[in-house]
Amino acid sequence: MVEFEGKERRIERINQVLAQYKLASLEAARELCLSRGFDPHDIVLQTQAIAFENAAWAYVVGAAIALSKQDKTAEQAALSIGEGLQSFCVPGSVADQRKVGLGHGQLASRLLSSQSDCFCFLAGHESYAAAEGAIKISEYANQVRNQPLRLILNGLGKDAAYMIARMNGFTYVQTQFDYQTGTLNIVKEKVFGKGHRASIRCYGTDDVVEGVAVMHHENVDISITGNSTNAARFQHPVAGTYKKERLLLGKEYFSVASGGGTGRTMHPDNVGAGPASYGLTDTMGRMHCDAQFAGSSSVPAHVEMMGLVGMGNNPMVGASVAVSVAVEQAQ
Amino acid sequence: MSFTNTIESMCPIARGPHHRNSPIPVEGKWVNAIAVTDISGLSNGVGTCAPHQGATKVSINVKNGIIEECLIETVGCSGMTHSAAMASEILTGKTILEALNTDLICDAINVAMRSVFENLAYGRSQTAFSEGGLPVGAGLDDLGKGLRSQVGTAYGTKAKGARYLELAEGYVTRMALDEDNEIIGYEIVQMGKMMSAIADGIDANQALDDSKSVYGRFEDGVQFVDPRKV
Repeated sequence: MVEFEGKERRIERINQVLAQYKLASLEAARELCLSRGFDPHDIVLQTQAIAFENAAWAYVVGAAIALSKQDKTAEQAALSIGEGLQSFCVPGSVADQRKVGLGHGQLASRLLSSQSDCFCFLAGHESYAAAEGAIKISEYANQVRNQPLRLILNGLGKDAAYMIARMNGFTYVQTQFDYQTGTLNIVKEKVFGKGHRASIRCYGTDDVVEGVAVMHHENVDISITGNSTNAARFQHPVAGTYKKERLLLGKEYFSVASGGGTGRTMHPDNVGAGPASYGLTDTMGRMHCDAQFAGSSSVPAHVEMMGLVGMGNNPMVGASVAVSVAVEQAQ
Repeated sequence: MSFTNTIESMCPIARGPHHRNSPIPVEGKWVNAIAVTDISGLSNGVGTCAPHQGATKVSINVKNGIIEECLIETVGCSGMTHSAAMASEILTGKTILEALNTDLICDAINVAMRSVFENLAYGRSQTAFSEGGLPVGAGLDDLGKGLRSQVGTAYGTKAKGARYLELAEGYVTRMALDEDNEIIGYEIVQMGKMMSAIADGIDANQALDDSKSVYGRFEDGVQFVDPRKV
């Protein structure tokens, strides 16, 4: 018997969805995937080792739905995976209300489409998790895309960006923003890794203005805005400001709001020490986002609390892409 | 420096009081701290993030304004452990003023840093009255012999009562209950001791047994429960 966190609150809806796609059980869903040569359960735990068991099974259901619907492309499969994730949302929870399961599917689908050129993890706080997501995307997405997807991390903190790049084998891009002229100067680049990881560019910035400049420099057209930070300093303001400027330029920008503030912190900043702090982010996230994810960019437990599954939102983006690609390759 | 016309046209009036700021005790001396480099000392600060989901203790040993040593201990959030890893590299070599406005990536760590700064700026360090302060490395002593943060984890429900998971003595493996089903003691593993033994080449199971001990009236128990399972 399959067991996972919060099963009793979730199983009724999961069973309904399984029945809708003529899948006999969770075990049968996994068997179906295994018979086609991949195991979503494993892919999830490889993406974020501390993910909960329920996250692994949510992707099993999503992948089985995609196989049942005979989705031909990863882009289509991602939407089906979103249905699987949505079936795991606890009824009545924040995750359920905001349809974040479907939102994850839509984001992955968009990432896999030729529409997207550069994806940004607009993350700062706890960005090791953004790195986990980025690594998975860089491994899988380009296996099925015609044009390679460019990936960047753009976050608060130059020291942190350096260390995240070093730890994960990305390319650290050191910038110096000229506040008089508004010019973004690249001081140096340091390549820490080899292969696909080295193609991920990691920026650290000092404030909102520099963060927006990085977005323009890389011509980002899709992003996930990671955890909330001091309202005056970063991330949600970067996404919102950049979105306005992109629209004025007549260019598209698909913005996803995620992080610890979204859905969890509903009140103005009540800590506000130094550059990283929660606050106002639920509101700011709603102001700029095309899709909103509930919980935390990185911490499984905080996402679970919001009623989705126990896996950080950023790693989930990686897992959604990876499983979608695995479905396409199985067809 | 430029002045507005209004100020330029004013006549100068003398300023009478010339008393400096109050001196603060710093490593056995009374110092009128003007610049950040006037401050030395070892102190701790505790902070939490906005949802109070995690907390951090930051301990720093400062010599002439520069952080020479830092200890970052976290509890409650998996993400902040990575932030702590980064902060342990970022903090040292910075002045305490720089450390306030650098990117420590985690709300709780930033708040803890702010608290330590306040302690030091107001002369409330542990080394206020100790001549020459403490040697670099003193912060590590906080962890005790096993070089492990002191973590307490206890859980309870009205329906099922208390579960001790980790206490000062170590990781709780069993709780002893008396005939009234009340907790009267527990068995623990000293994790630091066990890991040191394993590192020294002792077989893991042997090390586990050697690191077990009991607390309270454990032997008098009529029932023993694993707090994580039962």
